[in-house]
Amino acid sequence: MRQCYFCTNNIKTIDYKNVDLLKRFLDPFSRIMPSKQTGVCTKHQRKLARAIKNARIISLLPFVTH
Amino acid sequence: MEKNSKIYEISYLLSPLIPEDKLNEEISILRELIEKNHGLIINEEPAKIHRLAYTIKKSNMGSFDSAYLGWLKIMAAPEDFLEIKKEFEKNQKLVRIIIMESIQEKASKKLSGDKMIKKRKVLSSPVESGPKEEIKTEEVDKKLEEIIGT
Repeated sequence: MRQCYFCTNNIKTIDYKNVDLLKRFLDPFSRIMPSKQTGVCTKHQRKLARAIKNARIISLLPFVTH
Repeated sequence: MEKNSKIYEISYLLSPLIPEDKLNEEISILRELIEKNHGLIINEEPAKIHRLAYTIKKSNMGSFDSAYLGWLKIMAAPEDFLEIKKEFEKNQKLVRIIIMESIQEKASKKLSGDKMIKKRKVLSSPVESGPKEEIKTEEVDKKLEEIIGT
């Protein structure tokens, strides 16, 4: 089973301005990838989803990509 | 500063219609707004032109694909912050803002690193093993003569 990226790198807070990091957890349609695929733990998946949604609001990340 | 004051982070998108030479004026207006409402700016990133991930349409400004993106970290009491938020929302030059509660960055990280180095230095210093006995040259000569004599 894959290890959580954030736990292994000791990342406690996920910054919504860190676009390069957030993009790693989006699929080609800019949807948030499920933790089953990425291996992110439940706690960090919640924080990651919040960060991605904030980044979308401030237009750092797209809501959808066609 | 009041005891119950909190740290907030405000990210904003400023209209790209503002010319670059007038950008500082607009940011200083935002700063004044915070200071007027008893807020304290802790940290900030100056606004830079940023290509947006999607087109934003505003009825009074039209639509655009880029904007000036910047953020401010402020310390203010919750009741004062409500006023700041209202003032920000009224500002016509701001395309979009996002506000969230933040935490203060730990300045102790660097200190702990220094401590580690100091600790290592202490460990690497030579270990003293009690008071050293003074060796007299006469005694050494006598012992050498004994060895040579035998």
